[in-house]
Amino acid sequence: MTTTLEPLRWLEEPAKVLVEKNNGAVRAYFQVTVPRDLTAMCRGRAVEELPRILSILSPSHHLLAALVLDHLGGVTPPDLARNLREALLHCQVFRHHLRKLYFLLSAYGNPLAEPPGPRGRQDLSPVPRPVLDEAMEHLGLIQEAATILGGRSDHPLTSVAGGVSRFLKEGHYARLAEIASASLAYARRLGEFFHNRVLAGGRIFSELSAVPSVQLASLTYDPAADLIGVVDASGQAQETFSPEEAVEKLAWHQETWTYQPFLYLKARGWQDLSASDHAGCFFVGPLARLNRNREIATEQAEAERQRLIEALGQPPHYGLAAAVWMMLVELLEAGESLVALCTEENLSGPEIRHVPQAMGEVAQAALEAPEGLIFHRVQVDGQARVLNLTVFEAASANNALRCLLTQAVMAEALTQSRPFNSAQRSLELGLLPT
Amino acid sequence: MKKKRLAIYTGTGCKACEHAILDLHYQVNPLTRGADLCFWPYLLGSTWNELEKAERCDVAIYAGAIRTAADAEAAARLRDKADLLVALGACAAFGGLPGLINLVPPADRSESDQTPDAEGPALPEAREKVAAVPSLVPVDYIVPGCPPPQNFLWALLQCLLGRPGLLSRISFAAHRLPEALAQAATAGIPPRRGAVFAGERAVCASCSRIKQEKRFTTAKRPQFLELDEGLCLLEQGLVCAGVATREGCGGLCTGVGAPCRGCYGKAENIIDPGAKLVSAISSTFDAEKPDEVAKIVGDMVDLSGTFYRYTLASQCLLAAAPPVAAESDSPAAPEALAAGEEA
Repeated sequence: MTTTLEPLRWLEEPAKVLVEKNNGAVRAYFQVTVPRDLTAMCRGRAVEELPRILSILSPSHHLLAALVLDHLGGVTPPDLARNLREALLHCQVFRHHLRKLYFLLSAYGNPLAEPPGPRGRQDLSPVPRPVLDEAMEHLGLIQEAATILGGRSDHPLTSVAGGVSRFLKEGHYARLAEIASASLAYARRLGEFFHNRVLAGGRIFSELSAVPSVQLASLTYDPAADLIGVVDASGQAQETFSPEEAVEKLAWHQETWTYQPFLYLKARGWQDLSASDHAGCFFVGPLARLNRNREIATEQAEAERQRLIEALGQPPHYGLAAAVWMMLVELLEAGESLVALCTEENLSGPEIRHVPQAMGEVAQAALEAPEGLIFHRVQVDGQARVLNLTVFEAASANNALRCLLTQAVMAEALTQSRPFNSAQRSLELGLLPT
Repeated sequence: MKKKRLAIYTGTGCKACEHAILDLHYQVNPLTRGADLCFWPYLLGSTWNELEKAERCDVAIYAGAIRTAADAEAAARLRDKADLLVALGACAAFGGLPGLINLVPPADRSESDQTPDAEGPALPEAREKVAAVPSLVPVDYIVPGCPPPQNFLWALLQCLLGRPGLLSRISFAAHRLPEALAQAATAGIPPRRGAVFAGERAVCASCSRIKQEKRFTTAKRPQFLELDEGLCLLEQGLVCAGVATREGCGGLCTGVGAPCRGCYGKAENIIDPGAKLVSAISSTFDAEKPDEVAKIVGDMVDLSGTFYRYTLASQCLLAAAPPVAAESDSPAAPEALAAGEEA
């Protein structure tokens, strides 16, 4: 017997789940139904176009592609450009996490339904409508900041080889500072809402806790050391390697039943998803950053991380509640970082670019994006046209996790004789942080 | 007054267009005042079965390009089910960035050297060519942009869903629209079929950069050029598609120092945006001898990928599928669409 679950809410990639049940055994497939096509789309393009083209993956890919151009041109952007790019990245972290948290909170009813009138039925959702409204109001604000910094919030424009393409204007400094301050205050309020209404127990917490988890190794990028680090499933730090080594250390695996390839650790090999051992598989994202177990540089975010550790114990964690909590931690971190960065002193300066004199042949870079570690490697010809492009994006890095989670959720649901729509809902929640 | 039934769907593309609609709900005016959101898989988890069983939709919005048989089938189903179909964003309207893969033969598109095991369930077949929605099914309206700006989206909804609770922020909706569309949005009535919710002239008409009729002797690449903040990018030697692209963005990209790449499609009265760009750019060459012209042209790279960045699948006369006429009796059969045949 086969059942298809489609659509899955809140996923960026078109995907569906196919569940096969034979003699009590369950096999669930998480299928991404559109080819990736990235290399084909970019091969032959002028390399300077990559920040704009790859931004369709996520705004962080715009920033990373520009970083690769810096390396290709052998230049370091001036401080002003670095600050502008960093501020844009913090905006994108805030935006990404807030949208995910909005989706989570909107799961308890139709978020767009009109509120009941004075005599209407009382709203029984555990999330009051004003909470959703305020989340989206602040999403709008942070998108305004991202637009000021990046030209557009969804597909930014301003990061170019050696810096950024324009100075901010006079009115921008005050507006960015205002948004940064409002965002931090909001992150604190939202955190308290989660503590009081979600993490303290009740319907939402029960549901989050009931979603099965999958224990895998995780990968993160440390920009200070310029190293990618591997933490195994038991929480032990394993090897580190530089972005230059990434294409040697990681490899692709392809299955016929999904267009999305799987990234895995080459040294540990690819293990079939139905096997019990998945030493070669890993994941990236907020939970991977939690499992790295490093102090966070900003005060309030670090205090919140400690609160998480006190409540849930030392990392590693694999549960959905920990992933959601870590997004709250990073929301605070992004807010604090924006407050610190968004001053006229930091966002103004004499130069916005160091113009490259020539382009090399090969360059690569990694970035810890809101959705997790991402990596680009580009090889160009004599006219700086793209010959080869390798892009490790979060969807490929988390593909094994998504598939294993799908299998775990569906197997558990069928064991417990839960209806498919209930299992689908658990899966949608479980996939949200990935 | 009964609310209009609105369906929203994305084929192949990012979800920026759908996020733009969600933002509109919160930042401009709640959509539910004028619309019954009867189908929105990404946000509400609506299924195709629910759509099939329900009554007809008044308006369906399709975002994203047509990459697979499933995308084509979705476009055909929405066309069948809705009175009005809107192509939202550059991918749906013109093929968008995914259309660039049409430059690569299918056999060369694979990213993996590995031959996968032929086990497990099937996938929707990838079409040989990425297509824009209008080349498969008749489309009533287009909102271009990557992603489309809020005011044009709002103007579209004012026109197609128009009802007292929804009519608001009129000046915001009408901003940068041609007069006929602005008036339709103001009145809350649908404009002529086929209307594009954007300007009519080229981006240059609203670009703030100063043009000096300057000519150039070498084509420049942005990474090597220290930009003059206020001067026309084309006249600084950069390839900028503003001269062939429909306005409406207000010169957003050129305003931040990034050359236009044409996400609004060709301007009114232009037949092929690439041909227009060849003509416009070559007229700025400061060259008299063939070898001087050849030198400038030789410095330009990837002209097809630049001139048709968002429109290769639909507006390049040599490579595109023409749109299906709105007057045609019915859209192509889903089986034919799935096989990759343009109508």
